[in-house]
Amino acid sequence: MIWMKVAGITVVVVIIACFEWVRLDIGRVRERVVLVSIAGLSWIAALMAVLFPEMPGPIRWVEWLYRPLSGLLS
Amino acid sequence: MRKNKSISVLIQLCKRLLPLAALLSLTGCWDSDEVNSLAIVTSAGIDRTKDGAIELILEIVAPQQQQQQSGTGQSSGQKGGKGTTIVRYAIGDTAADAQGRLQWKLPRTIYWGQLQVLVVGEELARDGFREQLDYLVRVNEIRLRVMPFVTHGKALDFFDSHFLLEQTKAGFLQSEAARVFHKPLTLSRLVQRLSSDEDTAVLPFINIPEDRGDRGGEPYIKGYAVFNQGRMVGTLTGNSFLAAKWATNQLKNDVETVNVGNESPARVTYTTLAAKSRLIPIRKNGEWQMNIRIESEINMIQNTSRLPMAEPQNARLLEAAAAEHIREVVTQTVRDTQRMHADIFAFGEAIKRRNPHEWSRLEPQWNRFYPEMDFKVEASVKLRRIGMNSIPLGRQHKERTKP
Amino acid sequence: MVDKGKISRGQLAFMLYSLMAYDGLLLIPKIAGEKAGRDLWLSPVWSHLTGIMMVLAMLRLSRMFPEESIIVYSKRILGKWLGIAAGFIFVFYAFYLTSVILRIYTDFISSVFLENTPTVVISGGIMFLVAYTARGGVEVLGRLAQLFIPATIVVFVILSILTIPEWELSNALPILGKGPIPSLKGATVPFTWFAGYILLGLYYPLLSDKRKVTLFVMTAWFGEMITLAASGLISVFLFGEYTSTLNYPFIEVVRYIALGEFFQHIDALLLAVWLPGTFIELATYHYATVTGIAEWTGLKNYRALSFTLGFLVLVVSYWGITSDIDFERYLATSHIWFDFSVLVFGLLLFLVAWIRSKLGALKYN
Repeated sequence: MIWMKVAGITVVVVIIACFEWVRLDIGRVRERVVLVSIAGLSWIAALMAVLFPEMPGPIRWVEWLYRPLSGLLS
Repeated sequence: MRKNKSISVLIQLCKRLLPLAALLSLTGCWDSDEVNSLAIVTSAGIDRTKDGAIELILEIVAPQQQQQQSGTGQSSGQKGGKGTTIVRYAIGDTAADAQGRLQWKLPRTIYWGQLQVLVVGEELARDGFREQLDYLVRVNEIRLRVMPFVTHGKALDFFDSHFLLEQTKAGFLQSEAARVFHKPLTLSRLVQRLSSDEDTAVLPFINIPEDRGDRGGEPYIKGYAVFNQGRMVGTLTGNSFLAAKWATNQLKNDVETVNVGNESPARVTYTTLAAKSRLIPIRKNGEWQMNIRIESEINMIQNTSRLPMAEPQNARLLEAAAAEHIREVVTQTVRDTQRMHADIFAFGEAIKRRNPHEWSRLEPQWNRFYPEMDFKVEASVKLRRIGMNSIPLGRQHKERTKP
Repeated sequence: MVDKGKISRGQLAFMLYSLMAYDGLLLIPKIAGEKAGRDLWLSPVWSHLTGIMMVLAMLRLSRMFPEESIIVYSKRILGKWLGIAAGFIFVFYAFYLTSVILRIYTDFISSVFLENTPTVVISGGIMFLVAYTARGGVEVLGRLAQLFIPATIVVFVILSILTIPEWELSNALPILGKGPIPSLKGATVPFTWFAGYILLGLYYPLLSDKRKVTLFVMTAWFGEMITLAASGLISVFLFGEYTSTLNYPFIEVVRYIALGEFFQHIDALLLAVWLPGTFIELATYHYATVTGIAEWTGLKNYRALSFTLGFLVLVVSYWGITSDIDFERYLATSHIWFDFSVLVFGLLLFLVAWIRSKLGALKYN
């Protein structure tokens, strides 16, 4: 089941990346680098979220960052 | 652009097929609810069994054609095949638990979205049904518009009773409430009152006739059930019920009779056209006192006295008598609620509106303060109509003009 | 700007209106009600009266650099490295808020309407549309806003009118019974939401006509205030202090509507208000993320990023938060400070720019 999810995520990321890759004009190196890096990042993030659901994500990070302040209200 | 022909053809093809892909999303497969896979609940009853478990009774709409053949189920309430609903019940630890157990026995999914009426058995009401109400306000299908009632005896008895005029219990109670009250009470109002500072509430109290024969009569709204701290502590019936309706602006088409004058047949009966009551808290010698000001317009429907009401001075007499009557019953009723320690007229709310600071001081001891509180009822009545006949029947014109 | 498209002032106003109105409609009566009790409808008024400074500051700042986006001119204001950092803050804010709003959207839809549907279908569905819209460019976004938002406003007004027979006016009394403090406390959350107006820095250069923009932006500001105050007031009229106990008060308000026997159960109409509105809101944030990152990394073409970033947004909205309760808790505590720090960041940026321009140290183009 978990491998189905991993495979699904991979397929979605690859489809999105390929879809955009094909549509970029020839020679746009910078665009391609950013595209691939964001796609890679989101692939890793999605795998993390699926494989380690207990691992704190960005919303948790922000919560942790501002936790000292949250007592000031109320 | 990249001149790769096969890819661009493929993309063109995909674009053409895209609208078809949109069709896939129309199926909505996970939350699909077909009407004929649902058990549509129109009214629900909760009650307490002898050993403290919760009994949940549901009235479920039954499609007409099935009904005509199958007759009645083991606990269905209708006779003569006229009804279009069936009644099922289950027992569980909580209302939600009972619902779950009921669902086991039902071939269709229980659907709460059409719930209109909630009937609470007297025993559970006396025990406190707030905990079970939690389930109903939590279910995401139930609206706060549901009308709650308390029934005399067991809730199941109400669902077993029969009446021929309305097709469903929910329809019956709805039209009954619309007949009796100016603005029927809803779950929203109830939960507001239960979570207010005074923590008191009233609910319509249904009476079920003991005699179940054909002449036994139908259940009807007999009065108010009074709640204090979430438990039912008593009822207001008869004149008290009328008085409570006066004071809470719920009066509708109620008939009352007063004596006018001193001659022996002196009864005059009237209905109330419009009534408005206001609570005016005032401070007197540092203590709060409540003025209940009631204004109403009445319509005389029968006059057994010898006094022609077309005469203004006689009309004044009737008005005074009616005002005195209101004053009397309302005073008596407020006394009753003071004895029950239940501030059902929201005196506290009125003080809070007038003086929020004072209220925060008063609130902790309100339960002790209210029963001792001073109040005054001021009633003013206007006779608006006297019907189609000007002088009492059988009293000739000449008699009236005799010196 | 990386996008060559233009939007009109009215379209901008609709987009700004969507930033607060729809989430506010749903969440503010509850959030403000916890602190303010029956004065909860006053909270949006206070927050808007104070939040106006952020709106004016961002307008002023944008007017200093009418042809550049906030990513570019923050480098001018703060110098190269700090400017890059400021650009990152902006991009992160836009990106992160898209995730948060997506999460709010998903929680609402799945807890009220589609209980059994996998949440990823709900959020993935809308995110696909949002990414597709952002990919189409600002003109597509502007036209969609122009198409949807007026319709939702009309439906909202109709729904409000339909509740009139149920109003219990005395529920709102006493107004300011415990003094102004509770309603001011309730105003903190809607006040911090004004961080969203930092998006003006990105959308302002895209305007086709830059005269009298203030008027249009203030109309959006006023519209938001009226919408939030009205939804709060109606909730109080119907449910009194009980409003803050309800998870989504306004959906209960709409459910309460019944005209006669036949005209009831119209909760789906609320979705007709809320869904297009939130869609525009999401798209406005997402477009800001996409073009923001494109400018920040110096790209010529932003379109390629839309779907990839959309996927990342989707992932972040799930990542590490499994229960709705934790998320609600987060929204009511840490998120306030996150928004607040972005709001302070916007005001600081304006202050630095203003001081430097007074000193004559700022180079305009």
